Amino acid sequence: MITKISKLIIRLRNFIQLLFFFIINSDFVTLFRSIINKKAMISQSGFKRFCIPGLNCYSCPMAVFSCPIGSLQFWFNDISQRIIFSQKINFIGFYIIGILSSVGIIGGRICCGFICPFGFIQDLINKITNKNINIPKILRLIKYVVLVLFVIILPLFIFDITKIAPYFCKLLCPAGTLQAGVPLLIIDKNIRQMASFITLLKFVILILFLILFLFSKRAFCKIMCPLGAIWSLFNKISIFKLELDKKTCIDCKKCENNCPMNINITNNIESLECIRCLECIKVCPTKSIKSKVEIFNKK
Amino acid sequence: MKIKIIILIISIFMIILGLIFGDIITGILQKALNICYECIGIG
Repeated sequence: MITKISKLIIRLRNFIQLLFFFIINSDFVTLFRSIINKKAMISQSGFKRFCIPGLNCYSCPMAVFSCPIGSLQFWFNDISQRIIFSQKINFIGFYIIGILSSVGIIGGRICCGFICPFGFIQDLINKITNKNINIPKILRLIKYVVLVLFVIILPLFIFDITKIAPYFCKLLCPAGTLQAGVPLLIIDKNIRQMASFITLLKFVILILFLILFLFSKRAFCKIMCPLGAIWSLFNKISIFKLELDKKTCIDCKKCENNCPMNINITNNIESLECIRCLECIKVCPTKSIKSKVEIFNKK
Repeated sequence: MKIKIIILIISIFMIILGLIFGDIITGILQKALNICYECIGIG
């Protein structure tokens, strides 16, 4: 039964990604109103109380849920400000961290493969060339630096009291530039007039990544995604994982050639880079790779 | 080893703790309802 369900899920992965993309960005009314009135507006959905397990800027006019990385940075900012002003700390950050860790322990980076809207955008762009150049390991470590420095340390310790400072969103995030920056700058003349050097910097980063998406699958997930960095820490201990039967594996390398993350699957199936897209299972001729649900670790 | 179950229970406990003692309106909702100029690159 589980095998049948997983086969169906593997076959429908792109459809599942598309479905989540439209569920997460479903406020078309706000987008149309924004275009007609030529005024920047974003969705006022009450669902923005909830963080989605994926990178999706909540300043996108159509976004109806909150981005966990944006919310986490605001919380770290908030902690610093409240400590300085001797106010009571808002415990809502535990809710954000709890969501991230529960998703991680259940499936590792599975939401990168199936839910993340920015991951889906990367997959779509890469379909133009279908090339997948390997990214050196040293560059893949950047995402951990981004997580620690831009998402945690800078928002926690370096901020202007009069302003909020989500440094990852402010200086790096290409998802925010693409999903919020591009539409809002096109729609609203006043916002265009406020554009600065940082806008230019963010657009340069976005363009670089858009070019990179053409030549390397999931380039942002490989190099810079702080959400992927968090969930990668759970890949080796997650409940849902992949298993390789080395007795039946004929070492044809089809799985490795088809892996968007360029993982050496035959040697390291539990790699921190694995986004659990299950593409390896799809192409394995001997069915040696299987997904499994393992609650208790085998000794 | 029951580490997975322990992490899952702690995670669920953190979600409940956050929802009971945290303020979701000022902590997440209010910020998400306003345009984040930092995300656009003009903040």
